[in-house]
Amino acid sequence: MANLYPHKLVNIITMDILQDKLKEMFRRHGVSGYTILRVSGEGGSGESLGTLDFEASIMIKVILPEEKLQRLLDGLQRQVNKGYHLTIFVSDVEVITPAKFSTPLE
Amino acid sequence: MSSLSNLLIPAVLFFALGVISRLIKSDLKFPPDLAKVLSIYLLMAIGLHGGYELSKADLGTAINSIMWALILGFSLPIIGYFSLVVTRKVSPLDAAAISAHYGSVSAGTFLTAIAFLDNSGIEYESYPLIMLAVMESPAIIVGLLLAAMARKQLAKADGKTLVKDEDDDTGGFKGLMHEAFTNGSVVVLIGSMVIGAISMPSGIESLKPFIDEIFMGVLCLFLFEMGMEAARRIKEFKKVGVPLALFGVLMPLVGGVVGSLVGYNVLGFSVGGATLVAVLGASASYIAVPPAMRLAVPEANPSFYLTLSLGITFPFNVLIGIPLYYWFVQYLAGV
Repeated sequence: MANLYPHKLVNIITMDILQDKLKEMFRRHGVSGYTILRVSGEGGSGESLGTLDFEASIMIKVILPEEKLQRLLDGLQRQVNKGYHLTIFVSDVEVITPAKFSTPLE
Repeated sequence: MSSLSNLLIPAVLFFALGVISRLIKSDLKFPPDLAKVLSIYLLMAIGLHGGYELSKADLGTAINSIMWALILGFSLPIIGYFSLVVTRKVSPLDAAAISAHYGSVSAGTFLTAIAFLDNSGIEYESYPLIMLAVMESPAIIVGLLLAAMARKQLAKADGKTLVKDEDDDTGGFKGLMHEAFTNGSVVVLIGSMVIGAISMPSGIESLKPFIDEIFMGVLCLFLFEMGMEAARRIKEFKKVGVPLALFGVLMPLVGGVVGSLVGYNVLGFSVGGATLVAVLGASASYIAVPPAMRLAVPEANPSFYLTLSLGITFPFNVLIGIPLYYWFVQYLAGV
């Protein structure tokens, strides 16, 4: 039977144009990977239909071991302080291949 | 009446249809990336066409046009910035972001002006096209400089010093410069112009159906969608307020007058060519500048600059501005 290992899932909803900036940050923080989805919705920064390029919203999902979480959150916090719109929430997840989430991206 | 004839161009009517379809809450929706596809096509077609024409043009006038495009691109945002700051209706950072939009240009407005001139059988030079390509970027730089200045002043007023951010991975100013000049629409437009200029005439001839014959139809589709986008912004008019909305109408008039003078008196273009320069001066960017400002000036409120450029200035120019600038250039020419 496969074992389950507790990890953290960081969800970030933001504008498409911040994508490169965040990817760069993930690399520096030793993240093992991420998934990006194109999303739409409405919130504090208005409705995002994503028809025009610069309005597109994305959701980024990052799974990482708990010890790497705080550093990444601090980095994200700095972006929020600068005025960028980021909706960030963290949840507990369980993974069956922990090794996959501890190898940093090249 | 000449202003009525501008309204009866199919492309402009489709723009109006787009606006109406949003106002009556039609379920009409375009596929997500259509506007992007259409704008790449439009820039490619106009670039090939213009590049081909320019290969036969006079180099001195071309260089002169580029120089004046730079002057317009650098000076219009400064005029915009100080007139916004004086009114005290928006923060200096908002003012910087908004004025960057007004120094840059809208290819959609420019193409509508071309449709207007073609429809009325008015000749125009191809130099304004190089100016369109040149004017995309300088305003972004000025916007960034104005924002940096405003940020320093605000920090000073708060008694805080600016902290250097260790996460600043955009490469700071250098990275943004790179983005301003390698912006997608600039690459498509300049690249197509070069291809148009160096291709064999027979090759360009074989592209005629692509460049010429379907061009106005695609422009109709593009403006149809942009009408819907503009109407979506008009809803946010309330957030912007009357004084700022007024800026969205007055600033293009200022830019239009300056552009007319540069086009007709300084560069010595025909009435058609000078009208295009006036449109360049009057139009506000809604493709290249908004993402640049979102990245570089996150403190500024996007609904201000988007509503102004896309919801107010763009429809104003398409419906009223273009014939007005044409009329003004005619007045300068004493026609």
